[in-house]
Amino acid sequence: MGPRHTPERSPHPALALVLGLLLALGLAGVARAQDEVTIRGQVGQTLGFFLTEGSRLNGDEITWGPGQVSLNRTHYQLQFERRFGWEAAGHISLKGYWDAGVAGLEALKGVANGDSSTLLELDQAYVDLYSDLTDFRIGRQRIAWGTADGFNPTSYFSPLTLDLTRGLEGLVQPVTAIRTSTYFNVGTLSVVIVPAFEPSEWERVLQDETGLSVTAENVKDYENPGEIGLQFDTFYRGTSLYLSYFNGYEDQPVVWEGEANLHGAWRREQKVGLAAATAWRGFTLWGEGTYTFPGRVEGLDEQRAGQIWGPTKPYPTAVLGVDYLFPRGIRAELQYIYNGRGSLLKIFNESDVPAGQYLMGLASIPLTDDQTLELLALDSLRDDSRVLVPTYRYQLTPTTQASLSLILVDGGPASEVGQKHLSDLDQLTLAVTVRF
Amino acid sequence: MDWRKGLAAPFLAACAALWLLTAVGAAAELTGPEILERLQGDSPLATQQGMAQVRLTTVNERGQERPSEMRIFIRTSADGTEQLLEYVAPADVAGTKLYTRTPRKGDPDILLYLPALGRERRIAATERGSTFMNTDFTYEEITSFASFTQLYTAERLADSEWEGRPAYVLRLTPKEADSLYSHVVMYVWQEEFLPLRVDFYNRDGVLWKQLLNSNFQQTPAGTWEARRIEMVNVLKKTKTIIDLVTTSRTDVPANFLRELRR
Repeated sequence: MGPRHTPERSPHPALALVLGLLLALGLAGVARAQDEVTIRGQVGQTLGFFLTEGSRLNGDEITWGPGQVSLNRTHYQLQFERRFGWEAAGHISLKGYWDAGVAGLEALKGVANGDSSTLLELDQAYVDLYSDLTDFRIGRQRIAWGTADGFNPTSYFSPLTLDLTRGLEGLVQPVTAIRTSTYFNVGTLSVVIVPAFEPSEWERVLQDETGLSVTAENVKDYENPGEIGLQFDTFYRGTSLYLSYFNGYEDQPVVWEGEANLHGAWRREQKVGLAAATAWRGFTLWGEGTYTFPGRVEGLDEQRAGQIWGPTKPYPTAVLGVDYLFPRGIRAELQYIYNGRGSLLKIFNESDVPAGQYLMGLASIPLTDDQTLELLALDSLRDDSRVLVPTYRYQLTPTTQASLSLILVDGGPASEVGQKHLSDLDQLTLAVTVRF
Repeated sequence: MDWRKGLAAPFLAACAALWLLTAVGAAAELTGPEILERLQGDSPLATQQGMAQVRLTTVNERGQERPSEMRIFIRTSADGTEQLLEYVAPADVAGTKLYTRTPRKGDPDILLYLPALGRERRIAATERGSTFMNTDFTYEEITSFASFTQLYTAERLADSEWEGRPAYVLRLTPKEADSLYSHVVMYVWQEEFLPLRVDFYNRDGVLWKQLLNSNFQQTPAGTWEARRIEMVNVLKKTKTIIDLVTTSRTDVPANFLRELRR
């Protein structure tokens, strides 16, 4: 399964540059002894191999067989942080990757692993200012809300997709925003303002998922580019509660078949959300849900349901989860996911598609101090197809980890996870990562 | 590192309690319960706040060492105790923070902040007999350091010495039948009322673990601190070493929850 479902949002270059300069200036200032610059980073190499035969039509027909290299990627990240006592902080991080010339990878460009190498790009760059009541974070940052693992309906500022190949930690994309968190006795109020909505790369995904393409001039652009999100959180009798609201844009435009051409439009949506987490007798329990109100688009109401890619009615999305730590450090987690928008594995769902329902399981079994076995599983309850990702991890040194993973798709060609763009992408990956 | 491995009232409680417990005053000839009470009663844990940066090294049965470094904040008020732990090293866990709010009554709130996720996550307390974070400490050992008088009855044995220091020797018997130990023997530095050595015996009466305090240094306030705390699992042949790097009573954030999310 390739990383095709997590649209990358491109940085807002001007603001990022300004913030980067500000941060650099800040870093050049006189530091107190306890406020030194912290430099962290990582570098890694990932090798992937196909396990089955497969083919794609991407211009020419592309075929591959078992054992063929699917991925040979070097990736790296570097970050600088500095605290200025209890009053302020700064952060800047850069990342990049380089794909070696692998025939399988190049052939799949635009389908599975296709992105070209990005030698260096800005990841996050922000400054923190801490006043008596309020914390401010200004700049390019990750904003992760919610209580669930991997799929967070209330994490409004990140694309709502699930990509098992990136793990549960690689899903939150940075946005350029102003965030405030004000601490009251009864709880915390967070406000996030995104001055300029950053559209994701959606054309390639549309082509891949539906076989359709729409030209840019047929897509109605957005007008007011601002987005806003609010969250209030509090503790109540051992439970964390989060109430939230979002007014912004969908991650992709709604697309419909017009009389002669395919049309699209960026549209606003509003979401209200509730999330909670608690602990009970050694179990951790969590849940979060949203109700989404898609904006109206002129001309869309007249279309037939099967000719619209995107929701036309309000819909709910929810996650319920539980985990438990057994003796010997064995941890098990189970989540039920309800996606009123349709398939969790697709961006462009038809408007009348039934809700996606899933069970996601995660188990972690320590074999020794240095070795761990993990299993991630996603089962589609709609058609009983599933994806399994077993991983073996070996901690070579305190800073170096090696892992061996399998990505296995179990489902017929007509099933949700066995659909054409996933079913023949069973892979084995080998990865080594060094952190410093 | 699996963060669920025994993150009950977690490691920072151990470090903070051990650190604070090692800074008590002097006294005269006393009975066993009085010595234990003095050890507990003079602890600033009940009234004060502080920060300790510690270096933690676990040594497995093959002698392989796994070092880490963390910053621990603690504050106690009428409502309960707040603790915040932040990992400084190694790199794969650096920036991870753990916030624990333990009310006077009821279960603790435990929140884990993972920088890779960018948000907090509530986690459940684990069983008190389980170990945490692959160290040689158990939940029961951690929590009991601050409440010996509540959990044990003390009997004074013949005085002895440990590493050249005169010591009161106490035999502590658990009040609860389901304790992990049949009894505990504690060596208390006579001049400073600091635990020098604590021997934990399992339910079969066999020596299971030893807590050893060493590298004593005087603080600017005139009290003494053990700068090294070592827990040796005699049966498993493993040990956990805690070295205090810096300590402070004032360098503490105003709001621990805010600091968790920064």
